[in-house]
Amino acid sequence: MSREATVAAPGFTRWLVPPSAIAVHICIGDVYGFNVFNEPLTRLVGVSRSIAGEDWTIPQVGWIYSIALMMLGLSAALFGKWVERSGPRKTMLVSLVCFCGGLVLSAIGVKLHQLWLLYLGYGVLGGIGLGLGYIAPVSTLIKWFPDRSGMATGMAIMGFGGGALIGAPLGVELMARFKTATSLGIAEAFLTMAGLYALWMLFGALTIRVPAPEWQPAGWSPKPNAPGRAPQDSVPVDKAWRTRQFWFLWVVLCMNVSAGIGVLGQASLMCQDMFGVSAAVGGGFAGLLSIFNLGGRFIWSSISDLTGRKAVYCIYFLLGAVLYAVIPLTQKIGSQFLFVTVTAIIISMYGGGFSTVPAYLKDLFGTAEVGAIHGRLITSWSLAAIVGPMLINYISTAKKAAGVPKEQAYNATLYLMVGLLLVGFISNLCIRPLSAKQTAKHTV
Amino acid sequence: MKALRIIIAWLLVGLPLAWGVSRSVLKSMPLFSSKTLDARSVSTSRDTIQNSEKTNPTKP
Repeated sequence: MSREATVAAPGFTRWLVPPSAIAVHICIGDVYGFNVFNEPLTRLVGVSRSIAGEDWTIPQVGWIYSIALMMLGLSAALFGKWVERSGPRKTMLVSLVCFCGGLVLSAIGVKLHQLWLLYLGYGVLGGIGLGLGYIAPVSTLIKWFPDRSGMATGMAIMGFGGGALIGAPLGVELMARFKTATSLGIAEAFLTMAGLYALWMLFGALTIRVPAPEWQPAGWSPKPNAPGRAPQDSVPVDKAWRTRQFWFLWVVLCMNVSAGIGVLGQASLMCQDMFGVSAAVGGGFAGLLSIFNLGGRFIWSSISDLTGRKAVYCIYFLLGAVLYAVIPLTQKIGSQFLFVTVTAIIISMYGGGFSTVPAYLKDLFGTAEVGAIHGRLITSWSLAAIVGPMLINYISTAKKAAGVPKEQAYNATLYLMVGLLLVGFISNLCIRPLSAKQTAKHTV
Repeated sequence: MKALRIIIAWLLVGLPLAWGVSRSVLKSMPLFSSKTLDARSVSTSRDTIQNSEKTNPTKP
């Protein structure tokens, strides 16, 4: 299971590595589809309806997702160095045990009606599995694809986006299959998902390999003035996170995530409120956005291989700010088509922001400890994923309560998103390659 | 043999992804079959919106 035992033999094809990374990411990406369990979890006692005082409430249940995301960031930050030392196979297996074990513990919690077991299971344990499973494959792919690191990380992180598309309908179908007159089938759904995910993650862990230290793609050598650092110039995580480049990038990711969640979190409701469409159409809109979120992760990060990371983030922030500012106009002129087009592009760039960041880190700090550095950076995602929706829900609810017409209640939120994107844009402009002085100070 | 292993590995992850994407495409179909509403009609359909909200909780 050690890193040394997973070094690829000569002749191993690197095209076997992306499927193993995607296999882990589509499983842990289930966290984005967990919300399909929220409402059923509030009817465990009453079954057909929630009984006040006995059943759990939506805010109580919502904490499961929030704890999982907090633990994702914390575990990625704390265990990043261990991930680099131990190698991807051991990390993926620990991720499997944590994530699937968390689902099993949650199933027990549902059966015993003990909410703390769900917090501990899916929240804490599952969250640790998320953090470990997220960074290990990405760091490995960067090492296998030094020539196309954006495309490689895009593939894995696209899998994470795809996890929501699989986890949500799978959860709904399993609950329907196991539902009885006295049970909603949630525990059985959790157990079945734990089994299925364990199989896929095991496939990923057994297939993954790390390249030999001197390995390079056939016929490729680093261009003299290409962005990125030679492996011997790599900056260790303990020094990388003390550089201003790291913190500017932290702000970049935080702003990109906060702004994207502004649309994604309220997509369905926004569409209904702004254009008077039915709940089914609003749900369809949310479904369409999730496809663009998925595609953007691969397409934009692949584009970054050609344009450079800094340039592609400038596009995310500048184009994103313009598009956010245009959304109220689409409502004013009553163009649902324009609204859908604009938001789809915004969400594709939100996804692209996630998948481009590991390659950006590799360009700045080198490949040696990129997984550990990535782990510390995604604390910004954890923070934004929790604070962002809270802020946005608060503003739109306050506007509605103040009597602002529903179709205009989102304008303030959208302009706030423009502001966040401009902060991200400035922060991105401040990112410069490490100077010779910094390199001498930080490399080992 | 190497090519077969690559194909099988990609199918193992490609098929679930394709299933998830197809479900999302099906879910998004009502969006394309609905008529674009004039913004002025929004205020007249508020009651419908309020009713539909109850059945459509959203989360990132």
